[in-house]
Amino acid sequence: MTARRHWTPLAAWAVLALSAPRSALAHGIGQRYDLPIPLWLWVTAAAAAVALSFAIIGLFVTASPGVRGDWRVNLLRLPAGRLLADGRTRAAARAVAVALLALILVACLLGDQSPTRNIAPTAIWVAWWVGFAYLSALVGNLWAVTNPWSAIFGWGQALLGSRRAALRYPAWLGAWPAVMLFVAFAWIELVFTGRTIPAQLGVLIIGYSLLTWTGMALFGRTAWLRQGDPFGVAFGVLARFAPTEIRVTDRDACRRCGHACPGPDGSCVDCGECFDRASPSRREWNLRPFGAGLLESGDISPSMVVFVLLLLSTVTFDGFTATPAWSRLERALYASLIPLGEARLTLIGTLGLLVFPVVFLLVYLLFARGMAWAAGDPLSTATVARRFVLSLVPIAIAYHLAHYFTYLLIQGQLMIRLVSDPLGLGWDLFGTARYRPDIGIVGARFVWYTAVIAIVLGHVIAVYVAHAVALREFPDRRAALRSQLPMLVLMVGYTAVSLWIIAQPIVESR
Amino acid sequence: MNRPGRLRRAGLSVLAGLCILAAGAGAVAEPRVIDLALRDGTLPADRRVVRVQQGDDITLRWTTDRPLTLHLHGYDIEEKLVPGPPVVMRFTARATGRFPIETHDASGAERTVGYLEVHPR
Repeated sequence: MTARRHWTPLAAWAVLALSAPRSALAHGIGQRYDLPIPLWLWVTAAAAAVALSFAIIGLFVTASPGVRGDWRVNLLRLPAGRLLADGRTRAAARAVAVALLALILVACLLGDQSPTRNIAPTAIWVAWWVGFAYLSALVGNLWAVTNPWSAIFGWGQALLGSRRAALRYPAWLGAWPAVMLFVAFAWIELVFTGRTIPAQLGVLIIGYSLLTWTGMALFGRTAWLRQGDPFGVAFGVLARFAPTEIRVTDRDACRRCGHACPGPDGSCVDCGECFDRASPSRREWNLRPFGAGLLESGDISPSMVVFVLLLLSTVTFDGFTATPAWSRLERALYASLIPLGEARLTLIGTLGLLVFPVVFLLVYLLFARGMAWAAGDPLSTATVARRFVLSLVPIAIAYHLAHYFTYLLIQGQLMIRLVSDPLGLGWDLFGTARYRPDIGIVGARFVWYTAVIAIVLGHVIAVYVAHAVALREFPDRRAALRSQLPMLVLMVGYTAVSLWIIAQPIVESR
Repeated sequence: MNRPGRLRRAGLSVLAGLCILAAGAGAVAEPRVIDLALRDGTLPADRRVVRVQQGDDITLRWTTDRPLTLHLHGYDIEEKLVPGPPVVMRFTARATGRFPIETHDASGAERTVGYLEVHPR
């Protein structure tokens, strides 16, 4: 009759729960335990988003708010800023990143193969992928500074002598390699059942390394990182929202480090390689308003439009696959595709993953057409699509923060245990090998309010950015303001989808 | 003359409301005993989401018609069930959230049979 409580490590269970190809879709590793937000909060947040949208329209209609997008404070003028951005600090950070990459790869190949006894799956899916997305959006483009693949390539160049890139990165290629590789990555994250098996991750890391270094050798490090590498591009897009940037104000230095870098004014932003090479007097590490980097859309190519929408759609798809609506759809498809046997779940997930970005793209292009039309067609639909796509990023970031908030806080605690025994060999390096995650670290109310405030704030920033871009891009004020009515409908719709998802109870697929 | 009276009544009801709220916030944990009967490895449709309040002392009494292993995620409680007298999971619902309850049978097949939702007070 007595209840036996098994304080066995989560590991034993997670092994069973994760290694069997069972639940079709769930991001990365581990589960989210969020309660759905209550109806009244959903309604209040949606109403707040609409009301604040009109407040911003009012602001832009009645006055010209000085768009403070060019406000910058150079942190390198402060001693602490100089210390943090010092070459030695950056070199040390890169060395740590390379050491961690080596540790993860060793753990993948030689460690225990159960997903939660080995540090690799949690380090990759929770600490790196979710963690760096948070850091990129809320702090700055730390990936551009610490990327271990870039560091190793740089060391190789230093040893072997820097050679010119074999090829000039073709302009027509744009960000298409990054688009393709990101689709592959999203499939691994959201559909592939082997994503939690360390050995499989090890093979993927080796494959990615070879691909990345080949790309860098062919086209030059910076050109590849800025257009071909899915993570360089993804963290770069998120970091445009961030309140810091690294900037080099030397036209020649920027041109030398790769033609992908210089912006319209000749300076280059968030380019690790340029920053390393530039003379200290031409470097800036700036504090700027949130979202300021999204105003600079001069370098957005059609392939970047596709990449940004792909990034946004996979975040939404991840949330959608945990809703009862998806569960019903999946069950219906599962029942009607019996001849396809065991591969059905993978197939359904893959279809969903491909359909989402296509729908996002079509809806966005439709609204871009609407914006151009509402403004009296001074710009083509394609130009409008390129200029405004970044203004949707804050909505996606806000949803991402809301979606992963407790996940990061709860699953992230696994790292405390894993650092003591990274290979699952029974070590206890730091005395934390028996640490058990505290699932009560944050209460539901705190999570709800944080999520809803993030989503409403993200919406407000998005509407503001879009208005600011419109005032700059359209020939007259009237056209600019008119163009924003369709955009507002799109943004309210997108925010409502985000809120709807977090108001749904999370269900396990099949 | 009517006005101050109404104000006083309003004031009193606000006060009463606050008292109720305060009482709610400091409410002692309630014991909750919930019977859950698995038939062929599934729960009846109206039992698939167990809703409780944070801080409650929860007793889940499980019965089953075939042997399986139950796992309540998050709280991480595992019990082996066999047909016969109920098996009990007893715990205090200290953490809020929505926690899946999974079964595993001898063949290793797993399924989510329901959820424990712990709502904040």
